[in-house]
Amino acid sequence: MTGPGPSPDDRPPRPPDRASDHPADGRAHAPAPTPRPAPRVRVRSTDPPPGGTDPARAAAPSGTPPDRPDDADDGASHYTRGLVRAQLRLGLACVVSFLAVVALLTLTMSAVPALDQVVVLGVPLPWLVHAYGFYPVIVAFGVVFAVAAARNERRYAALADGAAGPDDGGAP
Amino acid sequence: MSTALPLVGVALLLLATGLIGFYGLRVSRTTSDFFVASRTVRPVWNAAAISGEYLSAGTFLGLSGLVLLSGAEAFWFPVGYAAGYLLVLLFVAGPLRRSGAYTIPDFVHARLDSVVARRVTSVLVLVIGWLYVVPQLHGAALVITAVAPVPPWVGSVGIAVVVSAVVAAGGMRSITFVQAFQFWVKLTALTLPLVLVLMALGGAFEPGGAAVTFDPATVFPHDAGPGGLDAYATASLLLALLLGTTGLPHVLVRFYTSPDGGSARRTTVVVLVMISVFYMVSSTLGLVARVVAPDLARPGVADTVVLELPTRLVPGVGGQLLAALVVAGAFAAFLGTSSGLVVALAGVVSQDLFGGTVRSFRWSAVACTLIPLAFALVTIPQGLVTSVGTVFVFAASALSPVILLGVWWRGLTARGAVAGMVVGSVLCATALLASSAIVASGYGAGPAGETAGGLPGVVRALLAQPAAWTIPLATATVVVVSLRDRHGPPLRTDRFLRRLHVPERRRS
Repeated sequence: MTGPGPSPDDRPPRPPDRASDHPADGRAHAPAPTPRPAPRVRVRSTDPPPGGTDPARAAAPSGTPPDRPDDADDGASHYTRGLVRAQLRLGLACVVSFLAVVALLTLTMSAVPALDQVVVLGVPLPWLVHAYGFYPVIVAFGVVFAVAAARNERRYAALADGAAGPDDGGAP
Repeated sequence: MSTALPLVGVALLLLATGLIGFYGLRVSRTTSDFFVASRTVRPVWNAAAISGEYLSAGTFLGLSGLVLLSGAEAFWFPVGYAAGYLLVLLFVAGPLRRSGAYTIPDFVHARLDSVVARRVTSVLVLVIGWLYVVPQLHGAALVITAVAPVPPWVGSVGIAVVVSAVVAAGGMRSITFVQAFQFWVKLTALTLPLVLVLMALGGAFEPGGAAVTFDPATVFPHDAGPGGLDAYATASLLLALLLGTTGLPHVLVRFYTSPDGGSARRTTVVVLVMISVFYMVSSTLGLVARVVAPDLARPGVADTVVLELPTRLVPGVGGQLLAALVVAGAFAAFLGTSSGLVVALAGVVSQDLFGGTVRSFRWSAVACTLIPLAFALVTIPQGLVTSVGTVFVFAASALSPVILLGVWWRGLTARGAVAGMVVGSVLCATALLASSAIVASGYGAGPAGETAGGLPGVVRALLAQPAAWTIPLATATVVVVSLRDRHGPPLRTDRFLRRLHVPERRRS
């Protein structure tokens, strides 16, 4: 990293709400994200052994810089590519369906002359749709994306921890 | 309108801004404080601050002005601004927070490991930022002449002085508090007058309680409504607004103040809600303006309609007080956006030229205010919404393709990025300049207008709304040049992308 960005050592501790990101939730709520099962590879683990504790929390960064040279464990980087693809698919799916809804709303309000006759509080309906109709759609897509993206990350954490664990490679 | 009350309103706003700014000064101690508020700003504070700097003069004054002037097509601007934030959330909010960079040039430098790409990005960020500050200063000039018998430059210079003082004194930390405060000022300054104006329309202040009556078909004619939509201009504008937000310098710098990628996403959702509420309020004022102030529907005057509505509809001192509140809110809009931009720009200048010390940040803040001030003083204000919209078109053509591909495409190379930024910015600037030259020389007024003059309407439409072809061309240039680049992507690409996309606690 020659980038002038600061070293992430100054990152504050995780806020308390992240503690609810239990990896088991991710597994329970959603089907497995990766289309094909990951190859079971023994990898050099850089995490402390999970033992009986929550592996995701056990793997929380404790002052270790993320860019140290030996952080490329193959199992996890396989899942990393899966995570990037999943997030990109999610974003593209959201933007495509958002644009479809926008196009539909636009067509409805501009191409149906009968709507001009519907006057609410003195304002024709197409004007009202144009002024207010798009924001609920935008916020709804934002909420859906934020929830789904966090779920992708939890699922990734669960899978990657499983892969990096000593014996029990892969999710149960 | 009386002079004293609005000036008292502005004075109170400046006093509060100064107090909050100097409170911030006491807690800003390190370089990190100055640039990114030490990354510990709470989501709601941060969301209010983001909204506070995103809601500029363009939507505070300009939106209702444009609704009055040209009808429902004006609603595309706020819809596009909000949808642009949705795209920021979908594609860049989390990853950019995790990149660990302070500014867009920092991000490009770290991603591509190229000083040349960094310099080109810095230049574009400065151009975009300065172009964005100019309409804020124009807005200040417009408002100050509407409320007091002073020359217009007083407003611009006043805003510039306050912004550079607050930014230089407190950096990002104090700016965060200032902007969060200003968001609530802006929202209140539109919502309270709106409620009373609507009550007045309903007849609450008339002796007989008679509501204002009007003919919907005259006030909201079909042709000025969604029915009169121009498909190409609308699609091109929306594309620009959607992608443009990603390329704005003050928007991206804000994510660095969230503690981690997940909270950056949650913050952005709150921002979407906040700006949506504000836009709906502002749009409603535009609808009211069409009912009660059709006489103000003239270019140059229409943008002051929000200042006029309260005194027209609410009798006595109440109307005067509301008008003063609106004026204070307008100044909060100029201050909030300008100071956010100046923080982002000063960060770029001081890091690129002076090694990023606190002292150089202060001087850069002053310089980054003076340059757009000079520009604002020698140019004539256009419509506020459309000026801001133009900046989005430029940002979407010049920077957004590189930022989006940098986050999501591992094949991006430094040469591809530089080529794309140059192609996008040159094409877009040429088209916009040619378009304004055509309009100025009288070859026909509207972008989709009549076939007056020698140029066919299609060409004029393409030049007036260039985003639909400049963004694809810029993106194609990035991709093609990157693919043909024999050097290939930088060696550390995979590790950097991993850092962008993997949740923080997994990075050990």
